[in-house]
Amino acid sequence: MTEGRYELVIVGAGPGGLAAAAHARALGVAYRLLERSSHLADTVFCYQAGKPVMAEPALVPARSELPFVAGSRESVLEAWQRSAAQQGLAISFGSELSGLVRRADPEWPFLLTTSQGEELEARHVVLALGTQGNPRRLGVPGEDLSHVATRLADPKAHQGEDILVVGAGDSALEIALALAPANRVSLVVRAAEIVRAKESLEQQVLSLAAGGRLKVFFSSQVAELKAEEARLKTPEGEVVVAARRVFVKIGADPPRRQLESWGVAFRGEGRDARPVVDSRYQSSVPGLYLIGAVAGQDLIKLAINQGYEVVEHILGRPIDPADEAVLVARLPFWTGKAAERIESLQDEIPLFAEADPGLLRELFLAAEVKSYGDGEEILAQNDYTSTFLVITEGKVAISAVPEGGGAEKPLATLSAGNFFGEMGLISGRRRNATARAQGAVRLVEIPRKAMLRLLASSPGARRMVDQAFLVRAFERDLFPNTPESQLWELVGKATVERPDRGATLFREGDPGDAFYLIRSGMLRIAKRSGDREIVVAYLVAGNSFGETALLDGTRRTATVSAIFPSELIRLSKADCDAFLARHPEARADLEARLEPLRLANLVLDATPRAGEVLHDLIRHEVVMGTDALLIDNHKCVRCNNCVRACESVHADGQARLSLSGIELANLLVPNSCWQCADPLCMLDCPPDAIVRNARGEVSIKSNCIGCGNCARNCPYGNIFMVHPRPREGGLAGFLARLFGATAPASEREVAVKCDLCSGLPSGPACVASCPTGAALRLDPRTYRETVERLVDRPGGRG
Amino acid sequence: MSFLGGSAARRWRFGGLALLGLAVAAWLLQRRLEPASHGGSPGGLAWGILATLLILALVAFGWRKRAYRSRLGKLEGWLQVHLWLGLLVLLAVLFHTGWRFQDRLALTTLGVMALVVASGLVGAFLYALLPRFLTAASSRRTPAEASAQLNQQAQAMALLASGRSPAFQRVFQGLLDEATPGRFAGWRLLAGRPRRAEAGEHAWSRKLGEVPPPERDSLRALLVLSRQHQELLESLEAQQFYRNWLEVWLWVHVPASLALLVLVAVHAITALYYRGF
Repeated sequence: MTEGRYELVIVGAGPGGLAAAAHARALGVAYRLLERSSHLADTVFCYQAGKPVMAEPALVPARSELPFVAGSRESVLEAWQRSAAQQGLAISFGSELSGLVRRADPEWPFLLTTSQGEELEARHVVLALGTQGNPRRLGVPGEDLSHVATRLADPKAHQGEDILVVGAGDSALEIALALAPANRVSLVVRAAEIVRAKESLEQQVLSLAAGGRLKVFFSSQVAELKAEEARLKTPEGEVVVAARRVFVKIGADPPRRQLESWGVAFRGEGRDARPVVDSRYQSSVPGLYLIGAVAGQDLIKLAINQGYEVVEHILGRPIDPADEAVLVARLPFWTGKAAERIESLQDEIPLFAEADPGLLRELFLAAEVKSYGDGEEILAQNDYTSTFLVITEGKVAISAVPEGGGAEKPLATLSAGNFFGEMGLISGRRRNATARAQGAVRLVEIPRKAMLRLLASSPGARRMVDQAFLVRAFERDLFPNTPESQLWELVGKATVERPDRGATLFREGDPGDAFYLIRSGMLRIAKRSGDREIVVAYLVAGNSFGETALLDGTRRTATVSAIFPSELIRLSKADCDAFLARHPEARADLEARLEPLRLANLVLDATPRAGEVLHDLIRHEVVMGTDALLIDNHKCVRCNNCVRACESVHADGQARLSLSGIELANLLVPNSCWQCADPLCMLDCPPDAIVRNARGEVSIKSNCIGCGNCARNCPYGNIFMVHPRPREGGLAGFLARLFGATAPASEREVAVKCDLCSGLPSGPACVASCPTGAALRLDPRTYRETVERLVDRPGGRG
Repeated sequence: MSFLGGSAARRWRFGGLALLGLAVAAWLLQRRLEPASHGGSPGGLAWGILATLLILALVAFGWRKRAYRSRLGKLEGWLQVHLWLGLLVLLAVLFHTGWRFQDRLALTTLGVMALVVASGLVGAFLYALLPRFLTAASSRRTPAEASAQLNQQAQAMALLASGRSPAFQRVFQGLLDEATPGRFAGWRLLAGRPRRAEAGEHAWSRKLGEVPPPERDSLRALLVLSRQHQELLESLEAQQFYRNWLEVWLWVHVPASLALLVLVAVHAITALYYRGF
């Protein structure tokens, strides 16, 4: 027996459902709102007490009768309850949808059945279900124990406990952050970095981790949960951590089976698959609309907007999405609505072809379209920028200065539809080539995080970026003169290896059978010298090794082991041989590429002392730096001009270097910032005063509050806490300094560190002011060459 | 490798030698065109003007050394240029004289210039030679570290001696005197490191005999401390010995350069005034 007929039945009184109901009511549409729980917005209701609720994305305006501003869980819920009451929204609490049938009836096509046995007929149905009721499971023993939960009610209820949080999304990070101050919290992150969460949360977590107040297990998984502890599978092996409480926040899925039983189609397989919805939020079932989390939209503001818009669509009133104006402004060189512009881009750029349009909308909200004139530099080799660039018009010339220096060599010319910047995207390392516009060029520049999110959800795009990474690496490291089209044959032959920390890939003297490319992690290359093993190189993501194995009858000339858990791309000698048989001209290319490496090995054998110094540079972690200052003591005349220069070019009159530090043979690594590749000093700066610019220079801004966190976090003692001593300029200042008068020091203490004299066109003043050329900056790409050149051989004059 | 062996030095060695060769060739040509050349002859005057300009360029090194924000190249290149132009200026001045040395003022100027150039060459030699020895001497402790340790040791020694007998105080004072640098100690270091009183077994037993038996254990501790203090001091003195030599030539080179500037100015003015130019 049918209980009622409605123009619109909305299922779920979350933000999306409430917004739809509010707008339907405002427009006089007969609606019914079903909510299975006894309260509004069950997902937000289940947040921990006091949890901040963000109103992102900030660029997109909110449009709804339902109010929404950022605030605490309680304030947001209260605002919605008040608004629902004021508007008189009719909500059927405790009413769960149990059946949905689309019938042949053209007037009332939907028959809905509730858990209370009620039958409703509707012309349109909006599912705003959320995913709260369908949390993902770990699938490990002990998951159903009583101390394992998927929600945290009140952080204050936990004091001094050992707590394990599993997950790397916003919710998991928020729980870890809420609990960390009063408990011993471990966070398990499946990936090697935090990709999906908001950057502000990620920074807070990393900051706590750096300070030892939170333990983060990256690239790890839970193997088993017990009453008091958890067994984790980490790259270092199995680890047991104390865990009296466990919070599993690894996301939630739409109820796929149920939705499919109602006829809703899904795009793709796997847990990241989303239901198919068109631009009006209509599913593959005509008249059935999906909004909010069930359609893959996790952000509250966007779900509310969808609730508003879906009612407009149902009424046949054309309405643009709330982000329309922003997106149209972001994509100014295409025509039509934002959806049409994105469609055009999908046609033009193969990388975007298979991506979900909804995801692309998010991507382009974060991206920027840029134009460059002929010859203009788009990015420079060794820059620390990490954006991903897609060419939409024109050509881009890629070139690079080879390792060890020399003239810049052209590598490739990329045309429209192509992309670059995949090295920074995949490995997070600095740029390995320079890109310049050839003629007028237009690019879409996408932030690394936004691109990583797209890759996580779009297997096709991920495959294309991975393959391009491989082809370009093969071209750069093995076959610089072989056409790219031929190199694509090798891509399918590459396999992935993941050595754990300390694992040895091969030993010196082993038969060579493969070439390796480092995708992530860090490896150590060591050779035997007499009775000891010396480290001759230290390779990070983006580098390759084992090239000589690809030539006939070559044995390994060094032992390679993983310093950190690493991901390597392996190309076997057999596959390479088959390729060379098909393309004999590539053999000469390979041999020409490998000849300098053979010579370098011979030089290394002849200069074991340089190897020892390199070993010590690694032992002291100087190689963590990207621009460490090095002083050749056999040239240094101890005039102190470098220190005076440093004092002089900084307004506070304080030097950023001290001529004491690590001494290795005739080389001194003074206490001066090394500009670490992974600067720990940046992790815990309350006013965000430490910043890194595109060239990798890490500097401290004037808003430093003098807390000293950075100085404590720097493992190398290269940040100094000082009282600024402002220097007086002009003749008076000069005369005062001439007679030894110094300005009084300020009472305020601030942190100072070498900033490589950013802003000085002449570069670091210490180097430019050294009369004998004893001071130099150590380029990580030329460690071995620099050390070989500088280290004096015993008994020789160098 | 010394500062004369780097890539910048190699580049400038070639350039410098070429300049010197060019100057000699120009002078040989001038001798043919102007056999009776002197300071006031057209050729001689041209050499004089060139030498004055070179002196100004050489003095500019002192400015560049303190112009820490300068965009005009690295100081390393400036020093190499300074070296070779220093040699060139001596040739230019000699060619300017036409090998006539009658004018006292001009002769004095030439003498001071020779002093400047010679002290510069000595400086270059010391810069090339001494850093290697200094590195060997300072490989264990930097001066700052050694100074801090010396102070700590001196305080510990004073603590050991406090409240002891006059004999103990005398021995302590003797040890202190040995360790205290006298007047002009820094300058004296140039002549070599001071030889210290023997601190062997015999000397120690003599000192132990001077103090009452109950204080001998304390004196033994004091002597051990004093020995360590002395070793540290010697290490510091070894460093300072080389540091002083790295600096002392500047005490001649810089004042002589300033004097040269004045003399060149006076020489130019008098020459122009009295000879009617």
